[in-house]
Amino acid sequence: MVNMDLARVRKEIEEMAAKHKHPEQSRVLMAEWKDLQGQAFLDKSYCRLLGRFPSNEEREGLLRRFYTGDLSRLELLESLSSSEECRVYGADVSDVIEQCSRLRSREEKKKSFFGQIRRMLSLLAYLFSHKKAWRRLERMRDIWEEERS
Amino acid sequence: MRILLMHQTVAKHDAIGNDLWHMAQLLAKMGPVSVYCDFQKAEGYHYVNLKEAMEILESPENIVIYHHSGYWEKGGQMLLKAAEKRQMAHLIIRYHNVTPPEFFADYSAFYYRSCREGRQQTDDLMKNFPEAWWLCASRYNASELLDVLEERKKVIHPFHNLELWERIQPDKALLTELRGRKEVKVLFTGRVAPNKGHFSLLSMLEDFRENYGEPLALYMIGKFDGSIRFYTEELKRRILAAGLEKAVHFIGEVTDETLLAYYLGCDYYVSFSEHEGFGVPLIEAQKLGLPVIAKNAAAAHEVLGENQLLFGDNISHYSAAIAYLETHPEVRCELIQAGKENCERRFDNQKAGEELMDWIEHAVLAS
Repeated sequence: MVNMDLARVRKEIEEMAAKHKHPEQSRVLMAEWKDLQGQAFLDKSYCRLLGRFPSNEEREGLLRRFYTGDLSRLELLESLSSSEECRVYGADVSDVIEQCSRLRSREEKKKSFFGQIRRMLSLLAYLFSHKKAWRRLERMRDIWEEERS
Repeated sequence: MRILLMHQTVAKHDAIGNDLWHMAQLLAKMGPVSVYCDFQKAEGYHYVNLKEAMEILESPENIVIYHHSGYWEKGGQMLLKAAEKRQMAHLIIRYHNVTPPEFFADYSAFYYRSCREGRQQTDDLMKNFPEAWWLCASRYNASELLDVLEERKKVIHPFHNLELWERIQPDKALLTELRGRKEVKVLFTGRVAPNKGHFSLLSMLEDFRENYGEPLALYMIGKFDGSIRFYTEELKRRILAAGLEKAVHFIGEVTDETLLAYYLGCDYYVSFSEHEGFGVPLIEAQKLGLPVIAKNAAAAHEVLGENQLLFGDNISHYSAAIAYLETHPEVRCELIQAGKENCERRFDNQKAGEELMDWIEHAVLAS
């Protein structure tokens, strides 16, 4: 006869469930926080999130979040989008791959003179709001650490 | 003495089909067993026509077991006609329960009407046949029969085919493929119908993936019904909207070998079914060593027994339970063990058969 402490198990499960985040809130926080992580973390979270986003528009948004303007990162995202891992998470990748190539052509345009000016202006705008942005990132990191612990 | 079993449809391998089959084998010890139905979908029975069935019904030395699981106009009329002659066989109503019509209100006028009439027929049977005996598939079913005297009720679980799983081999290719998949695999079996809780399963899948980061896949086995296609379409829309199409597998109807492979290859059996008069898949899962997590509705608690995980409406409890069991293998083992013990101790066909024969002999025939 099994002597299982069902009351304790139930209590622990209910405590676990109580820590759940609303899917939408959790989704946004995770996507934003993972922007800051290195490539090692990118792999799984990108694939997982890609599988979660139902519309093309949302997927494009996710791609933009992960894409930081670095061409090599764009290539990584492109290969991840068509990876088996993404399929495991249920992502329909065709539209995302199309987005990657569109982003790539935009990247080429950025190399033009006007593109350089625009980037300089973007950098200046970023520096002006640097303090505020940094504080926000720190807050998101704390939330993420809390979730993981 | 002759014995007549009645049900609108006699099929092979569904819960009522199995119950009928075992009853027919068992009662053959008492006398010749015949079957009357509208739709003969299984072989191996001695089917009789309406005239012969009425002859058996109208002889007081005979026994008639009327399986009641839904509205059957002709069946009800046959019983009434026999009762009018005041010379009627011993009537046992095998009560499997009837799904409340509310579940179908948004999806199918046909099923809504049929279930409403089926439940009305339960009331009519109670009213028109006060001398009938009620053989209930669960205590839950018995508790619904408010107008039946307690001494005229008997609870005996449905006869099942669990021993079948010891005789057949699973589909090996499928089993190997399932075991090779890295995702957490959740199984549910039951026809695709609104009372079975498919939407809750989808919500649980979303919740689990969102909060626990592991891939989870749902394997749902059961036939689609064209009469409730709105329900199926709504499910499909929900799956597409949530981007779950690669993680949700509707398998449809399968062979026994395929079903066994799914039972053995999946990691959990989760049921959100809102209304089951018994719920044979629950004990199938227990028998085949799957941890069961189920909604505490209708007969689920009674069937699953002690030391099993049942929850209410909060979806996050179900996904948390899976995450918890994934990280607590010792609890998972205890849950499986408790399930197996429950199944073996309480749902033995032979014991149930002896109990049924004893009841018929000492209560039904002695009255």
